[in-house]
Amino acid sequence: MQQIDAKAHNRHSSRYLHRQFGMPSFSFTLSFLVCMFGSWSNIGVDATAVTNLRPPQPEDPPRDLSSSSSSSYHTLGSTKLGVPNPDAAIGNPLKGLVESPVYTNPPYKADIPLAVEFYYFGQFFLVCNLDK
Amino acid sequence: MRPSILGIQVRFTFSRFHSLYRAGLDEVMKGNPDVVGEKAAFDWSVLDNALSGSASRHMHAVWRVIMDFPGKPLQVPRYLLDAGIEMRGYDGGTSPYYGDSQLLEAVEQFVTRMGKRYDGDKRLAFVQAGIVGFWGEWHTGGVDAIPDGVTDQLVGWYASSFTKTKIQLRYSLPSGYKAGFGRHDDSFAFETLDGEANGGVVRDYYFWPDVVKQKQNDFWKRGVMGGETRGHLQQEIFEPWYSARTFEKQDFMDCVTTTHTTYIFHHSAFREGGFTGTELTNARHAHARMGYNFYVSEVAAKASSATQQVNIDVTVKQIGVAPFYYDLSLGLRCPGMTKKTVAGVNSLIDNGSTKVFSFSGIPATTACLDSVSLSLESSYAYQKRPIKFAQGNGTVAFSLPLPGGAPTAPVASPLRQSNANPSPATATVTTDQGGSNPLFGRIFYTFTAFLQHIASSF
Repeated sequence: MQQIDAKAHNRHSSRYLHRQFGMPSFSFTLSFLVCMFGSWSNIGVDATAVTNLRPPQPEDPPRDLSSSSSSSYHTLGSTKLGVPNPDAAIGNPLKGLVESPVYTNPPYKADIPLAVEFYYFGQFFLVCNLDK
Repeated sequence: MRPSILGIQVRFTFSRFHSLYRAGLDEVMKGNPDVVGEKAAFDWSVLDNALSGSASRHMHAVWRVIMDFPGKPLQVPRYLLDAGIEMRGYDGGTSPYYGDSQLLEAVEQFVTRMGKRYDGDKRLAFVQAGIVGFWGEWHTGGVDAIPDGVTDQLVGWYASSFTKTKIQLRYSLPSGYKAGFGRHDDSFAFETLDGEANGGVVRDYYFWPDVVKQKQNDFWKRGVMGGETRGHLQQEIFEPWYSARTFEKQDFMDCVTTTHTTYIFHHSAFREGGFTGTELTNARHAHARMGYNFYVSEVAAKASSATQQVNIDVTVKQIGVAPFYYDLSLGLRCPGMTKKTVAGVNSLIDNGSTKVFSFSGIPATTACLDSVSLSLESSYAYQKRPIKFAQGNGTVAFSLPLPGGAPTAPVASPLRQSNANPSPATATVTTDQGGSNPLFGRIFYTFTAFLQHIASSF
């Protein structure tokens, strides 16, 4: 019974139609439509638009651009790259307000992200006898 | 010349002050003198510990070595005191006579050895030359203890010993300017600016007027500007009610932008309780606005003369008040490519200056060009404290669709993604789609694939 049902199913499958009548399989037909629709839908795409990043495609072969123009084909401005705001880069290294770990025990308050610490050193502790 | 106190010339020896050294040391002065005395000529453990401590917190250190901190035990090396070097007394303390030959020999060797050990240490941000005068600030409150030429000698020793780490001086010495040294103003916002910024009062000996007078206005392009907010102003200067631009109450940001300040020691911001509300907002603003600030203003992709590659030009703009004083490069990453870096971000000096960084040989794959990211790279940056762009992130990420639109159908299609071993026909068609007519490429691909499929079916 199961074998009969399986045959009936195969008879209506795209693979069966392809074998019997030389018609393209369903999966190929789907891929054909996807490719064609994809082609048309890409017409008029704004080349400067920043799209959502999709996962890397390592198997994607490099494109041959030797016939392309040497001028810029794609330019991104600050509206796409982010509006500059130095306050957003707070906490960058080697700058800003400074505290001494001798005056305030670390960890410091986090509301002013510190990047530099200041030290006084008494030379008394650093130099003791140059004759040695 | 004999030392003097209120005009009376005196000579002090170590014995007069022995009890002072034994009296215990303030927490500001680290170390253990008894242990130090039994070691070699130089004990670097205190400096080493400071650097490792700062590094463990992903921070950089700035230090100043001193011999006289008024109100604290004297910091002259013990053997010099034992040798009876000349001293000067002043109201509330004593100072060594900085022209003493034994002291100068010690200072020269100390600076030289310190340079050999720490010059270029990536944990060390900057060094304030210090050593001479009250708090190492090259003045002795009117006491005649710093003869002419001593500070020039000190500058010379630092110049020959530190060629990588940036050195800062308290005053506008021509020799220091010539050496490319920076400055530190320890009465910041109190005696920094004069004129309109100072309530209309002119004082030509204030910090910036003196810089201008010495024609050193551009010292900050090579040397770092830093210092300390004048103590009594620290708790009010960021308050909304602070009477900025009145006599000796200067606006913090006026001082930052005029002097091109990179850092300022400001203890009050970090003490227990710290700042809140508007005061905190203002302090954070000042914190972020000091020093460098870079952002990516434009990215342009171009086809390469080499096949299967593109070139990417990135424009970086300086919107800070000072340079980044060490190596700083622009890095570019994308999947399938080893990171590329182009040096020279640190050459962006002036506010508003821009520079184009060109990256060539970028793979013309959607995998790469869909996930391009830029970063600022420096050998001085800790991995856990990356240098952020003014866009607010450690990286600026973007997508650069290939010419003629992207992504291409063979790549975007689930069928293509599942094909671990693409047929030669597919690869060829993909290459053909690099032309200027994507629609033609798609039709050509589809037709070719259709023929291939029919052939494989039989």
